Amino acid sequence: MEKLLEIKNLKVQYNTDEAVVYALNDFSLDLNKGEILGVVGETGAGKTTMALSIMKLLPEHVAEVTGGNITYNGQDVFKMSKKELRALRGAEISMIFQDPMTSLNPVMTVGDQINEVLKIHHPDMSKQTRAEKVAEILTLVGIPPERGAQFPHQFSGGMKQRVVIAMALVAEPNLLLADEPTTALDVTIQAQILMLMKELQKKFGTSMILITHDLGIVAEFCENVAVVYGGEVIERGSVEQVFARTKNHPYTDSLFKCIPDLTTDATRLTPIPGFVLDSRTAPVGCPFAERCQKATERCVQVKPSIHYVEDGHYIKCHLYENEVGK
Amino acid sequence: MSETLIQAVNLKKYFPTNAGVVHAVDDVSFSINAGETLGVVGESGCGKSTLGRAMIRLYEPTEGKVLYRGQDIATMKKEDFYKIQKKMQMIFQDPYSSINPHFSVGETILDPLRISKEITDKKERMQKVAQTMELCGLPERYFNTYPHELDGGRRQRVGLARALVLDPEFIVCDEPVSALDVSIQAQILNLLMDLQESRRIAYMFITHDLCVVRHISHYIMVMYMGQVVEYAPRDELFQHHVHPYTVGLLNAIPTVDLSKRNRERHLLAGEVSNPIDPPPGCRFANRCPYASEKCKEPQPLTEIAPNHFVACHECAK
Repeated sequence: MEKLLEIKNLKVQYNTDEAVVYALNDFSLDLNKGEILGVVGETGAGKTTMALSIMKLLPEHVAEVTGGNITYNGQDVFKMSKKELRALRGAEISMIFQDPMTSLNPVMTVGDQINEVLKIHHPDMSKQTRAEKVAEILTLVGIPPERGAQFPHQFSGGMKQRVVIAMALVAEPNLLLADEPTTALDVTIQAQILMLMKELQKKFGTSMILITHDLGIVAEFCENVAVVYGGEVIERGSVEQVFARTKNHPYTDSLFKCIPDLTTDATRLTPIPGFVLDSRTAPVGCPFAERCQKATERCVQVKPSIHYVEDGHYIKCHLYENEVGK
Repeated sequence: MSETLIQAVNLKKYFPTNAGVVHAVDDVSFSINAGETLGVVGESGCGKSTLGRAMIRLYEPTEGKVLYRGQDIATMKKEDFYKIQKKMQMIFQDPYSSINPHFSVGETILDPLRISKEITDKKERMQKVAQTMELCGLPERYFNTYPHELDGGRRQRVGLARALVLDPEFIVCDEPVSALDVSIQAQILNLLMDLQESRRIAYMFITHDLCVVRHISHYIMVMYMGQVVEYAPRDELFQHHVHPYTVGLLNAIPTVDLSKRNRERHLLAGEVSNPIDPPPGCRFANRCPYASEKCKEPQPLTEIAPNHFVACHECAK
């Protein structure tokens, strides 16, 4: 398998007036070509910071990369020139944001907004071809092409998210970052959008990182999954391996236990004690140690390293240090 | 046998707009027993929040009755209603905007006691606040804390404490856990269920999350465009749901159960249509795979099994 993206020991912190927020701590993640990876985690786990880092869109002055690097197709993203970055963003990697209501320009027709992407990334394309391409992509995402002349406020939430997807895909990127693309939508519309994204992913052969807090979406939509907590990947494996629930990081395990699911019959959920990590303190041991029932003194002191429990399935936890996988 | 605590009878709430009349809640009837939970599910704009607000007279119903222990609160005089109002509270979806940022946690919880003049003695009031905070899992040291210092889960606890301090019998919970992380969501859901057991509070639990609703409810009501399409006891609804909309809704939920991963999914096409001056007949017909000419007639709720009602002529057969 060919690697498309490689994030290595990335450390990102936000320096605010009040405190330093350690958003990513030794964050490492690989993505193969054509892979659909689900990234799961709670608020503040660092999911969005990860996505912004990949495109080098972190807010300047506030965000500081203190270590690690990101390689996209063999190129170091942090060393790219402005021109190279422009080519990277939109054409190579594109992003779908959570809120379709605010990610569209309200004073531009949706057709023009999609057209603009082509104008920027394929300046040599003729007006005629561009118009054809716009009509084509609109049809693909299930919007009648004549609606391209309408403005975002004339679309419903689900339709707007279709427009955003069309915009993200029109330049035929190799990597699609979708940051909670369906969180703002109703379940029946969510299902439609996810199906559409999967179809288009197959059609274009795009690699995809789907950021979500919904384990159900990952189970149905992704091939592989990375669980993020406290700014690092604490578990990574195929959906089959992780959702089999035989070997999991204690955090992943408690996540499974605290979501109400249609298939379980528990009368009470098992909440994770404590609160989501306060990332204002510099990390020392395992980020989950404070809330983990199996934590020992060692977990607080020493950061666990990666332990493979199966082929392609690793867990960052001292509990699994005697496992021999690959 | 349990007693009926609150009942809606042919409740309607219309909103006149420039474009026409929005039928937000259209002829809805149901009842909730003391100590039980009715889960109300549906997509955005189906009228579930409007219904919740109309139940405690935050909205004046356009037509119909809301009976609380047999008394119609929708038409009674305001002065009389205020005496009952204490017993019905609401918790809101957004723990960020539903709490006054200028009030400390203690003041927020104290406020209902002050307004209702329920307890006149200052010392007793403070005791009641302390008790309620403890009940909701808020440590005493938060008394003088302001909302911006708390995270979403703790703020939702403040919202809950504010609702509980008057010892209500009925609480409308409008998406109380939607804005929270799953680990925190479980804490709040458990807390709500514990409180129900110890105090026999009835909940009307409004949500779009069917997994949550299954977890907490005794009865479930599915709404579509202001109308009830299906109503049944929880297990009956999840095992024998028949209305095409309920089927579509349940099919659309992603599950962590891998054995269902490759199931055939019947996804609903299209989107909710315009709620302005809807024609008579089934409002789901334009998205329904089984729609026929007969769907243009009004679809009354029909009992197809004990306590299981459905508004579809096809399913009722």
